[in-house]
Amino acid sequence: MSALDWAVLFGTLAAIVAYGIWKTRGPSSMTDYVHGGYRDRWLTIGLGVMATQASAITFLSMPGQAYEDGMRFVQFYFGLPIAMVILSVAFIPRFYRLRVLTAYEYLEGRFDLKTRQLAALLFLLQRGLSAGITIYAPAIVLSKVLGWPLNLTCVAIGALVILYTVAGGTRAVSQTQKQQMVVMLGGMVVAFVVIVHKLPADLSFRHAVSLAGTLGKMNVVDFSPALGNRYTFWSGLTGGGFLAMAYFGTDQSQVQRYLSARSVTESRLGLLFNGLLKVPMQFLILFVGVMVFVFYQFNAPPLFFNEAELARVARTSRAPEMQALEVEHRLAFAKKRVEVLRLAAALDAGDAPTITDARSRVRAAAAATETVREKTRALIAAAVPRPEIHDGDYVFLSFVMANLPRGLIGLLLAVILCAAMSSTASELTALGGCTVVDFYRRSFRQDATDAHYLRVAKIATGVWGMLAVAFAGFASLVDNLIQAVNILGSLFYGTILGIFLAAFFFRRLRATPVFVAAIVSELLVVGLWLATRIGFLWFNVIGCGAVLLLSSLLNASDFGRNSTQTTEPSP
Amino acid sequence: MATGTKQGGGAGTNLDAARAELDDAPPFLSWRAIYLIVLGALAVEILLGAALTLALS
Repeated sequence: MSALDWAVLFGTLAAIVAYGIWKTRGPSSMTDYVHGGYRDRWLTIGLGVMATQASAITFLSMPGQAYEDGMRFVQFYFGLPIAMVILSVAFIPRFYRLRVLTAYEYLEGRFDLKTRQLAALLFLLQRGLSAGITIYAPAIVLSKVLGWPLNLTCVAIGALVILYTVAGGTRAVSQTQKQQMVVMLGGMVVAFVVIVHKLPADLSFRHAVSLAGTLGKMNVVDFSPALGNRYTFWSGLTGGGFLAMAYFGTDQSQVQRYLSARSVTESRLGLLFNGLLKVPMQFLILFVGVMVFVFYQFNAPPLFFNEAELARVARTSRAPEMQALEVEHRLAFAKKRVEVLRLAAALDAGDAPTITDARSRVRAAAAATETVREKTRALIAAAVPRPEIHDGDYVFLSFVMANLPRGLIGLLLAVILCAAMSSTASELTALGGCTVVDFYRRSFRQDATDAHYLRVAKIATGVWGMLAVAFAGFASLVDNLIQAVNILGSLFYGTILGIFLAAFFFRRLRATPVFVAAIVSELLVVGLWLATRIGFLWFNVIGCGAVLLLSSLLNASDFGRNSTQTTEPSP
Repeated sequence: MATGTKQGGGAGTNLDAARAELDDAPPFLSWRAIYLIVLGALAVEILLGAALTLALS
């Protein structure tokens, strides 16, 4: 990396952190630390919830996902705007009326302590594990740039994020997320423009998109009803909608963001702003990946984007096989490039039969290059211990480092690190805040001062940060980071959402039936995940539906008749 | 009352009215119209996506 890149990278990060420290100087309270107080306007809320959701994984993994699998991942977000409307109508006013610090507090008033702490525990479990993956993603970047060992980089990034979070809490996070979001969106727009500019001069943008479509990358909407198909219109609208409702409505890392708004109105507008912008933003990020794919139809890509794995193979006795594969890959790419150029010329000429013929030739040539990549994966799997055979998370980073001009590399790395800071900081404050409010203050020490709870919340945040670093050590075992985070969320969110929907809309349900139904539903979801091939988004629907159905049945059979609360808690 | 909720939450609608954070007046039009704008934008995005898929795949 050049000196200019380092200057852009550290200049951007230092300016944002300095602004956050300056804006949040002065004494803090537990309310400030957990949800920042009732101060923020809708734009801060909207950008904050977007920045919290957009982790480094979003910018590393999504372009790689589009490179391999096309645009279809965008359907995952189709349910999000609907979820934002439902949350605005049903969730926000309830949370505000009770002035809760965490979402789970609401459940004690409606049901009982055990149901509140079960929901909080499920949140801590899934968010604690996810935080490990969100630390791992930027560690990939820096370990590649600095040449540090990956585990050491995880520890270094974890330590930095813990310091930043413990020092500022939610208030600092929300003050800096606006700037981080501007850097993130601006960086991706600049990357998109540069990539399109780097395509061959005689290839029009329309033909570049057409080429991507020929190779199956413009699969934006799929109406097929297959349950095993992970990303379809139906799974996105229902499963994605349930996941978004659960994530934004019951995950403390998001609830704390919009509870920092100065009023119900500002909070609603922030969420609806997210509902309006989310699908176009994700479309842009995926489309960047598709354009990187088109770029690599004209310029030779590496044999395998995770070059560290290739280097490991090169140090074994299988190195000659890898060299042979590199030669085979170069030849296959050269043949494919000829066919791609032929297709581009046919598209220019507009001759339909020639275009059809050229398209089938391009597809055959692409299949040949993919075969070489498959052989490479098999070789890596056979040659080295604990192999990483999926390189999708490295596609965008590899492209940026090899092809973007000086200065822009620093900016794109700043995008990735901003995303890491904003989402991890939100997660850690939520984990620390929930631990103190829902467990320590509620069940262990109820009479301490605000300063004491603030101190314990900061310690809990630090401990969760260290656990997240430890979990990050296992993140390399997953195929695709963004899928791993969403699978993890889907295993827990359906159950948590079911508990909240039971609390909001089923007034006759008692505490114990809901508590038992939640435990059984969670076991059911995990069992289905282990035993079946159902697309993960459906687990949100299944978990939620199972809680509502089972609790209704148990309730009707007089199970847990001694449960106390049956009505909406009063403020 | 949810045990463990933040101190200062009063009971009843009179105190609710005095709490500025409970303001839920729409900034323009009505909340229903704002929700329709958000959902309408989603419908347009899905239609455009379906058209792109149909035209290019």
